[in-house]
Amino acid sequence: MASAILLADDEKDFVDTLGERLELRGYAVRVVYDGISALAAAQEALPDIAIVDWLMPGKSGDAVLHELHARQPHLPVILLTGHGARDDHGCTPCAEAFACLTKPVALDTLLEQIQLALGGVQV
Amino acid sequence: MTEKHCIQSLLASSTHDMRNVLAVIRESTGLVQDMLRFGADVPNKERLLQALEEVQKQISKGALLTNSVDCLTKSTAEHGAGRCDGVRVAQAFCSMIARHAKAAHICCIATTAEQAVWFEHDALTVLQSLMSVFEQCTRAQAALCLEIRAARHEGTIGFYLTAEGEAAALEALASASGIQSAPPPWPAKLLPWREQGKQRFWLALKAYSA
Repeated sequence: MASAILLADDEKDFVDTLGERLELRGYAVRVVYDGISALAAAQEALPDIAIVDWLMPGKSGDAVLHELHARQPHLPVILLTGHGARDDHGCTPCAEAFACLTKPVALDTLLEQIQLALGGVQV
Repeated sequence: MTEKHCIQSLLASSTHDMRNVLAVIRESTGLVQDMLRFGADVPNKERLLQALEEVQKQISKGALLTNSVDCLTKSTAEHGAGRCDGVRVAQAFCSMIARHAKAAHICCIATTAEQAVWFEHDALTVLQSLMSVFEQCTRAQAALCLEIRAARHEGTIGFYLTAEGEAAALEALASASGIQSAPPPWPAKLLPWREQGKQRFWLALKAYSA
């Protein structure tokens, strides 16, 4: 069965296309455009991994991450950000995230993180 | 709000949006690449893929430049006023000055380092000192390669500069000890010496001893 990815980003053009590319690689992708919808989608069907934009209107990516982890502590969450994944200390904006990647992220890099998060499971 | 804060705030917002723009271009280009690779049979497919790969390379260059500009916004916003990593600032400077440097036949290279070298000043001010050195190099109107490394040296913080190139350029730099165009609160001091046949300088940001 294909691994389920929840993809949340308010940049619709970006996230729709990224979702399509992940589907081409065999993942089952659910795309939403804000944090509240991400939590609702996760409530309906828990994904194997969530990829969430850090800055979204309504509910930020790290708030989504905290709430997802409150429900499912081991759910891997990858944060995407246009803000810069690491500050000058080399820290990620949210230590709880499985990874934090700066846009525009290379798909190979994202796929590598997804596979690591899924424990090396290939789709 | 100071002019500096205004500029940094606008740059922070712009770089964020620029990354989103690049992300959309990257994914849209990638989707076309996927479609070509996964089955679409079109004339000149290999040439199309080659052209799209070039778009991806340019996106990566754009992302690198955006990260460099973003460096200017982080020092104040995230670490409090007047703090920046000299390693990152040197990398950002080399990335941002590359176009002007190429026109002046100057090559600026920032050496990488695993550890941050903290300067007790914001990135914009430190960049002004590097810019002063660069302007000094351009006045010589000769080809030059300048390697820049943030470091601590005998209780001071600053940049090691290693210069290679035509004698006129090296002499011009060597005669520029105490660059007066550097902004307050320091005059940046450029101290020349030779080592292993190479012309080296220490650009001391003297007001901020570690």
